[in-house]
Amino acid sequence: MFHNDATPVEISPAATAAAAALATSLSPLRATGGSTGSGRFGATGGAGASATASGTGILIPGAPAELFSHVKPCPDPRATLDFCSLPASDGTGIEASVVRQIYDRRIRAADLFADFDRTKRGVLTRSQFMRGLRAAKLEGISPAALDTLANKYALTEDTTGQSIRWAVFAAEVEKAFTEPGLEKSPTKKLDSFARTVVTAPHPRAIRPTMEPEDAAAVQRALDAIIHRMKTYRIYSVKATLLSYDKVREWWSGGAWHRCGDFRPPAPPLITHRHALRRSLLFSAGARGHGN
Amino acid sequence: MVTETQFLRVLAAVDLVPHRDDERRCLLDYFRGTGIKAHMIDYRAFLAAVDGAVP
Repeated sequence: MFHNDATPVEISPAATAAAAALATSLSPLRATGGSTGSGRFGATGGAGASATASGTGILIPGAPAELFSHVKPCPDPRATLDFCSLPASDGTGIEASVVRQIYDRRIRAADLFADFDRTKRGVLTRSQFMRGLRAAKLEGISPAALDTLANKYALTEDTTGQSIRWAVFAAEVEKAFTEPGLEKSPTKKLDSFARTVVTAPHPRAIRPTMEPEDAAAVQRALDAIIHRMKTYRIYSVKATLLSYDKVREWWSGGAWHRCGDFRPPAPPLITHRHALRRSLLFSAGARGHGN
Repeated sequence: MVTETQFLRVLAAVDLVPHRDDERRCLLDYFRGTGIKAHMIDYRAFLAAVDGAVP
Protein backbone atom coordinates (compact mmCIF):
# COMPACT_ATOMS: atom_id res chain seq x y z
CA MET A 1 0.00 0.00 0.00
CA PHE A 2 1.39 3.40 -0.99
CA HIS A 3 0.50 6.60 0.87
CA ASN A 4 1.10 10.17 -0.21
CA ASP A 5 3.66 11.97 1.92
CA ALA A 6 1.34 14.99 2.36
CA THR A 7 -1.34 12.98 4.12
CA PRO A 8 -0.85 11.76 7.66
CA VAL A 9 -0.22 8.05 7.84
CA GLU A 10 -2.25 5.97 10.22
CA ILE A 11 -0.40 2.78 11.04
CA SER A 12 -2.89 0.15 12.00
CA PRO A 13 -1.79 -3.06 13.68
CA ALA A 14 -3.19 -5.01 10.73
CA ALA A 15 -1.05 -3.06 8.28
CA THR A 16 2.05 -3.60 10.38
CA ALA A 17 1.34 -7.31 10.53
CA ALA A 18 0.79 -7.43 6.75
CA ALA A 19 4.09 -5.66 6.13
CA ALA A 20 5.89 -8.06 8.42
CA ALA A 21 4.32 -11.02 6.63
CA LEU A 22 5.32 -9.62 3.24
CA ALA A 23 8.89 -9.07 4.37
CA THR A 24 9.00 -12.57 5.79
CA SER A 25 7.76 -14.03 2.49
CA LEU A 26 10.45 -12.16 0.60
CA SER A 27 13.24 -13.08 2.97
CA PRO A 28 14.12 -16.42 1.27
CA LEU A 29 14.71 -14.61 -2.01
CA ARG A 30 16.94 -12.07 -0.35
CA ALA A 31 18.74 -14.67 1.64
CA THR A 32 19.40 -16.60 -1.58
CA GLY A 33 20.72 -13.48 -3.26
CA GLY A 34 23.03 -12.79 -0.36
CA SER A 35 24.42 -16.26 -0.03
CA THR A 36 24.94 -17.33 -3.62
CA GLY A 37 24.89 -14.06 -5.57
CA SER A 38 27.88 -11.97 -6.41
CA GLY A 39 28.38 -8.52 -7.88
CA ARG A 40 25.14 -6.61 -8.24
CA PHE A 41 23.11 -9.44 -6.74
CA GLY A 42 25.38 -9.54 -3.73
CA ALA A 43 24.68 -5.89 -2.95
CA THR A 44 20.93 -6.46 -2.97
CA GLY A 45 21.32 -9.55 -0.91
CA GLY A 46 23.22 -7.63 1.74
CA ALA A 47 20.48 -5.02 2.01
CA GLY A 48 17.92 -7.76 2.20
CA ALA A 49 19.77 -9.35 5.09
CA SER A 50 19.30 -6.25 7.20
CA ALA A 51 15.62 -6.09 6.23
CA THR A 52 15.17 -9.71 7.19
CA ALA A 53 16.74 -9.00 10.53
CA SER A 54 14.29 -6.22 11.29
CA GLY A 55 11.44 -8.26 9.79
CA THR A 56 9.59 -5.39 8.11
CA GLY A 57 11.47 -4.75 4.87
CA ILE A 58 13.22 -1.66 6.18
CA LEU A 59 16.54 -0.85 4.63
CA ILE A 60 17.77 1.41 7.47
CA PRO A 61 18.91 -0.60 10.44
CA GLY A 62 17.66 0.60 13.77
CA ALA A 63 14.84 2.79 12.39
CA PRO A 64 11.31 2.36 13.75
CA ALA A 65 9.31 -0.08 11.67
CA GLU A 66 6.15 2.06 11.57
CA LEU A 67 7.84 4.85 9.63
CA PHE A 68 8.58 2.60 6.67
CA SER A 69 5.59 0.30 6.62
CA HIS A 70 4.29 2.01 3.46
CA VAL A 71 7.53 1.41 1.53
CA LYS A 72 7.13 -1.25 -1.09
CA PRO A 73 9.88 -3.84 -0.55
CA CYS A 74 12.23 -4.28 -3.46
CA PRO A 75 12.43 -7.94 -4.48
CA ASP A 76 15.58 -9.64 -5.55
CA PRO A 77 16.26 -8.87 -9.24
CA ARG A 78 16.54 -12.56 -9.95
CA ALA A 79 13.02 -13.08 -8.69
CA THR A 80 11.66 -11.02 -11.58
CA LEU A 81 13.20 -13.50 -13.99
CA ASP A 82 10.86 -16.14 -12.62
CA PHE A 83 7.97 -14.38 -14.32
CA CYS A 84 6.47 -16.66 -16.98
CA SER A 85 9.05 -19.28 -16.07
CA LEU A 86 8.73 -22.70 -14.59
CA PRO A 87 8.76 -22.73 -10.79
CA ALA A 88 12.10 -23.69 -9.36
CA SER A 89 10.48 -26.38 -7.24
CA ASP A 90 9.26 -28.31 -10.30
CA GLY A 91 12.42 -30.28 -10.95
CA THR A 92 10.83 -32.76 -13.34
CA GLY A 93 9.14 -30.03 -15.36
CA ILE A 94 12.39 -28.10 -15.62
CA GLU A 95 14.30 -31.11 -16.89
CA ALA A 96 11.53 -31.94 -19.33
CA SER A 97 11.54 -28.40 -20.68
CA VAL A 98 15.33 -28.44 -21.07
CA VAL A 99 15.24 -31.80 -22.84
CA ARG A 100 12.47 -30.72 -25.19
CA GLN A 101 14.18 -27.47 -26.15
CA ILE A 102 17.51 -29.17 -26.72
CA TYR A 103 15.82 -31.85 -28.81
CA ASP A 104 13.81 -29.38 -30.86
CA ARG A 105 16.90 -27.35 -31.69
CA ARG A 106 19.10 -30.41 -32.25
CA ILE A 107 21.75 -29.28 -29.78
CA ARG A 108 24.46 -31.72 -28.80
CA ALA A 109 24.44 -31.29 -25.04
CA ALA A 110 28.05 -32.38 -24.54
CA ASP A 111 29.26 -29.52 -26.72
CA LEU A 112 27.91 -27.02 -24.20
CA PHE A 113 30.23 -28.23 -21.45
CA ALA A 114 33.16 -30.12 -23.01
CA ASP A 115 35.38 -27.08 -23.43
CA PHE A 116 35.12 -26.23 -19.74
CA ASP A 117 36.24 -29.68 -18.67
CA ARG A 118 40.01 -29.51 -19.22
CA THR A 119 40.75 -32.70 -17.28
CA LYS A 120 37.96 -34.72 -18.94
CA ARG A 121 36.59 -35.91 -15.62
CA GLY A 122 32.97 -35.26 -16.52
CA VAL A 123 32.65 -32.81 -13.66
CA LEU A 124 32.38 -29.03 -13.77
CA THR A 125 31.92 -26.33 -11.21
CA ARG A 126 28.39 -25.04 -10.71
CA SER A 127 29.29 -21.74 -12.35
CA GLN A 128 30.65 -23.48 -15.44
CA PHE A 129 27.63 -25.73 -15.66
CA MET A 130 25.30 -22.74 -15.45
CA ARG A 131 27.29 -20.88 -18.10
CA GLY A 132 27.13 -23.85 -20.39
CA LEU A 133 23.38 -24.11 -20.05
CA ARG A 134 23.00 -20.38 -20.44
CA ALA A 135 24.81 -20.58 -23.77
CA ALA A 136 21.96 -22.73 -25.05
CA LYS A 137 19.61 -19.77 -24.50
CA LEU A 138 16.83 -21.90 -23.08
CA GLU A 139 13.47 -20.19 -22.83
CA GLY A 140 11.41 -20.09 -19.66
CA ILE A 141 14.22 -21.43 -17.48
CA SER A 142 15.12 -19.00 -14.73
CA PRO A 143 18.45 -18.99 -12.85
CA ALA A 144 16.66 -20.50 -9.87
CA ALA A 145 15.42 -23.32 -12.10
CA LEU A 146 18.96 -23.88 -13.37
CA ASP A 147 20.05 -24.13 -9.74
CA THR A 148 17.48 -26.85 -9.19
CA LEU A 149 18.73 -28.71 -12.24
CA ALA A 150 22.34 -28.40 -11.07
CA ASN A 151 21.39 -29.73 -7.64
CA LYS A 152 20.00 -32.86 -9.22
CA TYR A 153 23.30 -33.62 -10.96
CA ALA A 154 25.59 -32.49 -8.14
CA LEU A 155 28.43 -34.79 -7.19
CA THR A 156 27.48 -36.50 -3.94
CA GLU A 157 31.08 -36.79 -2.79
CA ASP A 158 31.45 -33.02 -2.84
CA THR A 159 29.65 -31.76 0.24
CA THR A 160 29.75 -28.16 -0.95
CA GLY A 161 27.54 -29.01 -3.91
CA GLN A 162 29.76 -27.07 -6.30
CA SER A 163 30.73 -30.04 -8.50
CA ILE A 164 28.20 -30.93 -11.18
CA ARG A 165 28.33 -34.13 -13.22
CA TRP A 166 27.81 -32.66 -16.65
CA ALA A 167 28.62 -35.92 -18.43
CA VAL A 168 25.72 -37.66 -16.70
CA PHE A 169 23.41 -34.78 -17.60
CA ALA A 170 24.56 -34.80 -21.23
CA ALA A 171 24.10 -38.57 -21.43
CA GLU A 172 20.56 -38.28 -20.06
CA VAL A 173 19.69 -35.58 -22.58
CA GLU A 174 21.24 -37.53 -25.43
CA LYS A 175 18.82 -40.34 -24.70
CA ALA A 176 16.17 -38.12 -26.28
CA PHE A 177 17.76 -38.95 -29.63
CA THR A 178 19.00 -42.49 -29.10
CA GLU A 179 20.82 -44.69 -26.64
CA PRO A 180 24.31 -46.13 -26.97
CA GLY A 181 24.79 -49.84 -27.52
CA LEU A 182 21.65 -50.45 -29.54
CA GLU A 183 23.59 -52.69 -31.91
CA LYS A 184 23.89 -55.25 -29.11
CA SER A 185 20.19 -55.16 -28.30
CA PRO A 186 18.37 -54.05 -31.42
CA THR A 187 14.93 -54.83 -30.03
CA LYS A 188 15.42 -52.65 -27.00
CA LYS A 189 12.59 -50.24 -26.41
CA LEU A 190 13.69 -46.65 -25.82
CA ASP A 191 11.84 -45.74 -22.67
CA SER A 192 14.12 -43.25 -20.95
CA PHE A 193 12.75 -40.10 -19.39
CA ALA A 194 14.12 -37.90 -22.17
CA ARG A 195 12.68 -40.15 -24.88
CA THR A 196 9.31 -40.13 -23.16
CA VAL A 197 9.36 -36.36 -23.08
CA VAL A 198 10.14 -35.85 -26.75
CA THR A 199 7.75 -38.52 -28.03
CA ALA A 200 4.82 -37.22 -26.02
CA PRO A 201 2.39 -35.10 -27.99
CA HIS A 202 3.39 -31.48 -28.09
CA PRO A 203 1.32 -29.32 -25.74
CA ARG A 204 0.34 -27.19 -28.67
CA ALA A 205 -0.97 -30.17 -30.61
CA ILE A 206 -3.44 -31.09 -27.88
CA ARG A 207 -6.82 -29.65 -28.70
CA PRO A 208 -9.07 -28.47 -25.87
CA THR A 209 -11.84 -30.68 -24.59
CA MET A 210 -15.17 -29.10 -25.42
CA GLU A 211 -18.77 -29.62 -24.47
CA PRO A 212 -20.67 -32.04 -26.75
CA GLU A 213 -22.74 -29.31 -28.37
CA ASP A 214 -19.66 -27.16 -28.91
CA ALA A 215 -17.76 -30.10 -30.38
CA ALA A 216 -20.69 -30.74 -32.70
CA ALA A 217 -20.65 -27.09 -33.76
CA VAL A 218 -16.93 -27.31 -34.54
CA GLN A 219 -17.50 -30.46 -36.56
CA ARG A 220 -20.32 -28.83 -38.52
CA ALA A 221 -18.16 -25.80 -39.25
CA LEU A 222 -15.21 -27.93 -40.35
CA ASP A 223 -17.43 -30.09 -42.55
CA ALA A 224 -18.84 -27.01 -44.22
CA ILE A 225 -15.36 -25.58 -44.76
CA ILE A 226 -14.03 -28.82 -46.22
CA HIS A 227 -17.06 -29.19 -48.48
CA ARG A 228 -16.65 -25.66 -49.75
CA MET A 229 -12.90 -26.07 -50.30
CA LYS A 230 -13.51 -29.25 -52.27
CA THR A 231 -16.33 -27.79 -54.31
CA TYR A 232 -14.66 -24.55 -55.28
CA ARG A 233 -11.06 -25.83 -55.29
CA ILE A 234 -9.82 -23.26 -52.84
CA TYR A 235 -6.03 -23.53 -52.77
CA SER A 236 -4.95 -20.16 -51.42
CA VAL A 237 -5.77 -20.61 -47.73
CA LYS A 238 -2.53 -22.32 -46.79
CA ALA A 239 -0.23 -19.94 -48.62
CA THR A 240 -2.00 -16.90 -47.24
CA LEU A 241 -1.91 -18.19 -43.67
CA LEU A 242 1.78 -18.99 -44.00
CA SER A 243 2.52 -15.53 -45.32
CA TYR A 244 0.95 -14.06 -42.17
CA ASP A 245 3.31 -16.12 -40.01
CA LYS A 246 6.18 -13.67 -39.89
CA VAL A 247 8.26 -15.63 -37.40
CA ARG A 248 8.11 -18.77 -39.56
CA GLU A 249 6.99 -21.12 -36.79
CA TRP A 250 6.13 -23.69 -39.41
CA TRP A 251 9.76 -23.73 -40.53
CA SER A 252 11.76 -23.76 -37.29
CA GLY A 253 9.33 -25.65 -35.08
CA GLY A 254 9.55 -29.35 -34.47
CA ALA A 255 5.92 -30.20 -35.20
CA TRP A 256 6.40 -31.19 -38.81
CA HIS A 257 9.00 -33.87 -38.34
CA ARG A 258 7.18 -35.17 -35.28
CA CYS A 259 4.13 -35.68 -37.45
CA GLY A 260 6.23 -37.81 -39.76
CA ASP A 261 6.05 -35.30 -42.58
CA PHE A 262 8.90 -33.80 -44.47
CA ARG A 263 9.43 -30.13 -44.09
CA PRO A 264 7.22 -28.30 -46.51
CA PRO A 265 8.85 -26.22 -49.21
CA ALA A 266 8.96 -22.52 -48.60
CA PRO A 267 5.72 -20.96 -49.82
CA PRO A 268 5.80 -17.82 -51.90
CA LEU A 269 5.72 -14.67 -49.84
CA ILE A 270 2.46 -13.28 -51.10
CA THR A 271 -0.16 -11.37 -49.27
CA HIS A 272 -3.82 -12.00 -49.71
CA ARG A 273 -4.19 -8.91 -51.89
CA HIS A 274 -1.43 -10.12 -54.19
CA ALA A 275 -3.02 -13.55 -54.39
CA LEU A 276 -6.36 -12.07 -55.40
CA ARG A 277 -4.77 -9.82 -57.99
CA ARG A 278 -2.80 -12.68 -59.43
CA SER A 279 -5.85 -14.93 -59.65
CA LEU A 280 -7.77 -12.11 -61.38
CA LEU A 281 -4.94 -11.62 -63.84
CA PHE A 282 -4.81 -15.34 -64.52
CA SER A 283 -8.54 -15.52 -65.09
CA ALA A 284 -8.29 -12.59 -67.50
CA GLY A 285 -5.65 -14.44 -69.47
CA ALA A 286 -2.66 -12.38 -68.40
CA ARG A 287 0.72 -14.07 -68.52
CA GLY A 288 4.31 -13.08 -67.90
CA HIS A 289 5.61 -10.44 -65.50
CA GLY A 290 6.93 -12.97 -63.06
CA ASN A 291 4.02 -15.39 -63.25
CA MET B 1 0.35 -18.72 -34.99
CA VAL B 2 -1.71 -15.94 -36.46
CA THR B 3 -4.00 -13.51 -34.79
CA GLU B 4 -7.73 -14.06 -34.68
CA THR B 5 -8.28 -11.16 -37.06
CA GLN B 6 -5.82 -12.51 -39.59
CA PHE B 7 -7.38 -15.95 -39.42
CA LEU B 8 -10.88 -14.63 -39.98
CA ARG B 9 -9.64 -12.35 -42.74
CA VAL B 10 -8.16 -15.27 -44.64
CA LEU B 11 -11.30 -17.34 -44.27
CA ALA B 12 -13.56 -14.43 -45.15
CA ALA B 13 -11.64 -13.78 -48.35
CA VAL B 14 -12.77 -17.12 -49.73
CA ASP B 15 -16.11 -17.16 -47.89
CA LEU B 16 -15.20 -19.93 -45.47
CA VAL B 17 -16.26 -18.22 -42.25
CA PRO B 18 -19.13 -20.10 -40.61
CA HIS B 19 -22.28 -18.03 -40.78
CA ARG B 20 -23.64 -19.11 -37.42
CA ASP B 21 -22.21 -17.28 -34.44
CA ASP B 22 -21.88 -20.36 -32.24
CA GLU B 23 -20.02 -22.28 -34.93
CA ARG B 24 -17.66 -19.39 -35.52
CA ARG B 25 -17.00 -18.97 -31.80
CA CYS B 26 -16.44 -22.69 -31.24
CA LEU B 27 -14.16 -22.90 -34.27
CA LEU B 28 -11.95 -20.12 -32.91
CA ASP B 29 -11.92 -21.62 -29.42
CA TYR B 30 -11.01 -25.03 -30.77
CA PHE B 31 -7.94 -23.80 -32.63
CA ARG B 32 -6.89 -21.27 -30.01
CA GLY B 33 -3.31 -21.46 -28.75
CA THR B 34 -2.28 -22.30 -25.23
CA GLY B 35 -0.41 -20.42 -22.56
CA ILE B 36 0.93 -17.08 -23.64
CA LYS B 37 -0.40 -17.72 -27.16
CA ALA B 38 -4.00 -17.95 -25.96
CA HIS B 39 -4.92 -14.85 -27.93
CA MET B 40 -3.75 -16.36 -31.22
CA ILE B 41 -4.94 -19.10 -33.53
CA ASP B 42 -2.93 -22.21 -34.25
CA TYR B 43 -3.36 -22.21 -38.00
CA ARG B 44 -1.26 -25.33 -38.43
CA ALA B 45 -3.84 -27.32 -36.48
CA PHE B 46 -6.52 -25.86 -38.74
CA LEU B 47 -4.59 -26.81 -41.86
CA ALA B 48 -4.13 -30.32 -40.48
CA ALA B 49 -7.85 -30.57 -39.81
CA VAL B 50 -8.82 -29.56 -43.34
CA ASP B 51 -5.94 -31.46 -44.92
CA GLY B 52 -7.06 -33.45 -47.90
CA ALA B 53 -9.89 -31.12 -48.80
CA VAL B 54 -8.02 -30.11 -51.92
CA PRO B 55 -5.46 -32.31 -53.64
